[in-house]
Amino acid sequence: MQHNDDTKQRSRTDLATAARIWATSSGSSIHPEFWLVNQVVWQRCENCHQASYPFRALCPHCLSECMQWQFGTNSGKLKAMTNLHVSFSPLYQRESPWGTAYVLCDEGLGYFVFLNWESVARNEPVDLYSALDSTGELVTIAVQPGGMSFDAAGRIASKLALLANTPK
Amino acid sequence: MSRPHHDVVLAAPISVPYQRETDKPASYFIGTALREMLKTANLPAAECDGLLVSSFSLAPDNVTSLAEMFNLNLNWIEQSNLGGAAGVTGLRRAARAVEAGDAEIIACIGGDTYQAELYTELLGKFSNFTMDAVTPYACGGANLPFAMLTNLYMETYDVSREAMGRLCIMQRENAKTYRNSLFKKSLTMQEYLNARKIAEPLGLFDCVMPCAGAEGFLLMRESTARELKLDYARLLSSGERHNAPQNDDSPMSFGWTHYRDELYSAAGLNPRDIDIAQVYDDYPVMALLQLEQLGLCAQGESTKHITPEGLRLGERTVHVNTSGGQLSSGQAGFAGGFMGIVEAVRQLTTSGLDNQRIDVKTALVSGFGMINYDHGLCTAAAILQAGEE
Repeated sequence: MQHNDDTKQRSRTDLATAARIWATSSGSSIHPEFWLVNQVVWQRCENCHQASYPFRALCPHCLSECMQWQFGTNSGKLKAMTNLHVSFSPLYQRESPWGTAYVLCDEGLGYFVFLNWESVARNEPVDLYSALDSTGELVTIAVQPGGMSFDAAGRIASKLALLANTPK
Repeated sequence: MSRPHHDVVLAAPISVPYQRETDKPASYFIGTALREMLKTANLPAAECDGLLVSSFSLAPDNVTSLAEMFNLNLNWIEQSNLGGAAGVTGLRRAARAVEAGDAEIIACIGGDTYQAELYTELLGKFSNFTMDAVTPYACGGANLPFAMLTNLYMETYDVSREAMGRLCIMQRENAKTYRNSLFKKSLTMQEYLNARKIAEPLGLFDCVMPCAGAEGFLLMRESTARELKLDYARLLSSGERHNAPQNDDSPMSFGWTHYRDELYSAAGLNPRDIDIAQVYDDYPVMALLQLEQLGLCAQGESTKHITPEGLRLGERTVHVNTSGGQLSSGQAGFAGGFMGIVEAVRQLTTSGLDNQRIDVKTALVSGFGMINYDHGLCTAAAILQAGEE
């Protein structure tokens, strides 16, 4: 999860900062232990206006460099999932298994996500959240839609935010 | 339309026995393959004027570093980092170079070292997309997307875990007789089903064991092979497709169907003529998809045809991954994409390593690689034919 690409590290920090500012200014729920917003993050090209994910230096549709970070949709459909038992990071291995899935958001972009494993079946709609893990990495969380979805996403976000501090 | 190949043959198939863990560098395994193939062909190194290498763990060295290390003076050189597709794409490029007269004899080698720490580091940094949008999801590596793909395949075609297990058990039986295999013990269905969970539905025996080793062969004109008195297999046709379009309706299409018909027509054959299929098996679902999408059986039907002997199609049996494949012989990095070609050449030249099948005249080999984000980007396939009667 650590890497040496300074440029990318900066852009991630910028994104995390922007995310916090946005969340604060829009009145989005802020929890003392984690940050969570009910939208995915993507890039939108200012030239052709199409969204893309994962992050790119140039737009995949028109090769323009005018790529802007944005918060996007908050919903999608679950396409495939797995309960991950073996991680190559000891940090995650201690807390395994991890419910993970692949989701197509309403814009048609595919995201790997953390998922509450038992709650959702394939091809069912999901609510999508963005959160920051304990290393500052941006992650997407998918949960069953409905009134309790923030709490469900918050449980996963909290676990991720505290991961580095979880006692062995 | 891709032209059929003309007057190109493969000889001197070499597998450098795999090792579980080693402190030797990738160049050791690649160089050992080179030494053994030159020895087999009784060929002075000066006669080899082309080198194609594929390796996951060779950096910071590259194919030119190897030319210097092994004192090769070359007219043609190439390095392919297309993962499990690099064997067949490398074969294809080298064949075109021989056909064009750019090189006379090309050594094609895939080889890697294995140290757990290095491997884990390389895996997590496989691509920018992987680092940004896959690794943060609990650092599951390639098991993450392949578990999801397996899940999708099993649900879509109503395939059970037992059915998936039949492929792994069949390949393990193949590995038992293959001289170089690291696995010599049978795998029972109970063991398969009760294995440690890796990423559901994948268990331990659905995953390859990473290791070190190398695979390689020499590519040349048929007349050259005859002069050298080498047994050989002819390359009849080949195809490749990368970043094939995927959509919601075809999430399991990776590119083989794009060139499948041309592959057979250029070879003057059809799927019923294939005696042996060496398909890239980083996970069982991929082996099954290749058997289906390369026309040997219908989509979603392959597990119904798997028997302990191979793929049973009516009255005949297609032998599949006769050396046990990566699932039962280990994955020596990018050598995995060369393994099927090397084993096919051995089978077609009746030089199997204690696992020779009888009456093998035509072989289908295919490769698959590069899970850059959510699906594999590279596919390639080729048809080979026995040389001398």
